[in-house]
Amino acid sequence: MWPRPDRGRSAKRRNSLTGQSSSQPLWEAVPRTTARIAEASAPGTEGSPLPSPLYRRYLKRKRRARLLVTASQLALLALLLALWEMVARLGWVDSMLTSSPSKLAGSFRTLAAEGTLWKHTWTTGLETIAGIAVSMIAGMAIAVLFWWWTYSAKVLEPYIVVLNALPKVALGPIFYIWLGDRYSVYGMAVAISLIVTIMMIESGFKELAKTKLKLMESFGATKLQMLRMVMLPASVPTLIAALKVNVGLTLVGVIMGEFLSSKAGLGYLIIYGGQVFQMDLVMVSVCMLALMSVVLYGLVNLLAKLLTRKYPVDR
Amino acid sequence: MEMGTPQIELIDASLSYFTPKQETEAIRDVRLTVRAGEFVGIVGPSGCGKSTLLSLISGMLKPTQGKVLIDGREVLGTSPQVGYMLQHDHLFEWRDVLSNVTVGAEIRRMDRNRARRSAMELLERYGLGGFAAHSPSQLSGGMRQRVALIRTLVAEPDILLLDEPFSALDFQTRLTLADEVHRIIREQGKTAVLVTHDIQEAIAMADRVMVMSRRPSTISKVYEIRLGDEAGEDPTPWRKRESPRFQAYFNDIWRELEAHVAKTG
Repeated sequence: MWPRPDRGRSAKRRNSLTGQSSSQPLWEAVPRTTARIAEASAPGTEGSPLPSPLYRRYLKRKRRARLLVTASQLALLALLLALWEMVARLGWVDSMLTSSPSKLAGSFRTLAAEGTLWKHTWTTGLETIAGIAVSMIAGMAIAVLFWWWTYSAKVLEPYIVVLNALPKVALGPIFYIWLGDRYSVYGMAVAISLIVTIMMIESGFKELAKTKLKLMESFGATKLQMLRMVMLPASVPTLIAALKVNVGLTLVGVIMGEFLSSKAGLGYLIIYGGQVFQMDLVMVSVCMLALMSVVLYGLVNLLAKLLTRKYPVDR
Repeated sequence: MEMGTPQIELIDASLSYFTPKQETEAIRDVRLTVRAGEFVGIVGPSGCGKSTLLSLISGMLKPTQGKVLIDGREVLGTSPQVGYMLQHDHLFEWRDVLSNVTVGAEIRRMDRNRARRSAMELLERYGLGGFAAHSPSQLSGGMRQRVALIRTLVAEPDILLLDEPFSALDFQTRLTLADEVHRIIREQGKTAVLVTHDIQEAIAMADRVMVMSRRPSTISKVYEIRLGDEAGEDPTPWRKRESPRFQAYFNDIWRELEAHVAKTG
């Protein structure tokens, strides 16, 4: 489902024999092995100045195939919008119920001009980012605690299982009463994403413990050294995966929180629009929400790429 | 440490693993002495507790009964004196080769500059000088395993424990790497204990080969390997494999091992 991060494809193929002294009376075997590596790591056309016509044709065909997909995606969008507009205009469906692209554009302009839309989007965005940060940091801290002090993991295991199984939405009224209309949104967001984050990071840690930690143990490493030198850097892929899941879940939590209690945010706008039967408002808010999640996913992917380049892990 | 004095001693060491379902007696009453500078090979049927033996010597496990001594002192935990080379190289992909080989020194809080210097020296010497800034993923299996050995050496142990270090490699790399590792260990004057299921590898590399029985394992037989030249020179494992007496040792040890495998089916 997630696009796999490209792990330093360019960095991997930088092998050369520079600096490799060939005068090695000790070891005849060494140059042989290294020569094999150099051979293996220079595949294809890298280094040769002109790609063969066949290869160029292959590249061209690939590019064309990619273009076709993009063009079709755009065409499909245009078609859907046109269809929607048409059925609304021709009165085949009640535009009170379905709204229409032109009406949406109109209310988007009005809302944007008033500033309401930006204000609510900003609120939701901020809540989401704060929610993600809190769940990631708390999730990691708790997972580290569970690894460090196995006893605590054993004691708390059934509680985690129950909390994971419980539909967190049911806690809405409690959060509202305890935290008020503003902070109950954060409560809901963290409640929905935290447990999964803990479980993902914890299982990543467990996987690691079986392999690289044995080496650390053989050197007599302390737990803190294990954490700093192995657990955290080697967990980067797990952390990224957790972060991606976290974005989706936190958004659910934030919108749910806003539905239940808030006086601001896109979730509030959607609920409000529904109550006053303003489909334009609902749909504009939904579109804005979709846009915002895409931006968030994009940011996370960017972060993932940067981190994976710095902490590559082969498993 | 003077050559020839006992460096590793196991005195009637036994170890059982406990799980809620059962207890497993891995090794029983193992008595063994490894002299300083000696290269000992341990072979045995799979799952006979060969690795357990190394874990005992390294201090990662404590014997349930009996004692493990290094230089006459009882082993109470991991010690800088002992280097453990595992079956898998466990290189850290997020570090380059140089900072991988200094991991042990870093953990042991040895002088950073000195560790880097000796690491560079060893890398140069063993044909990896040009790869210090490479990432482990750019190296072949044989090179990675050599990096792992250098990582162990940088921590300056007197004793090297080798737990099937070649088993993940292809045959060709195995043979050449066995030569290299043998030479490195001899040059550095280390005491070494090699655990392997490959009888030929053990004969080719070790001065003495010990055969372990099935669980609960003991050392059932010890073979002094004498494949040196008349001049008393120490030939490479490769040359030893070509010796006419090599096959005789192999047959003896094979029969000894087979007896253990047959006993329990």
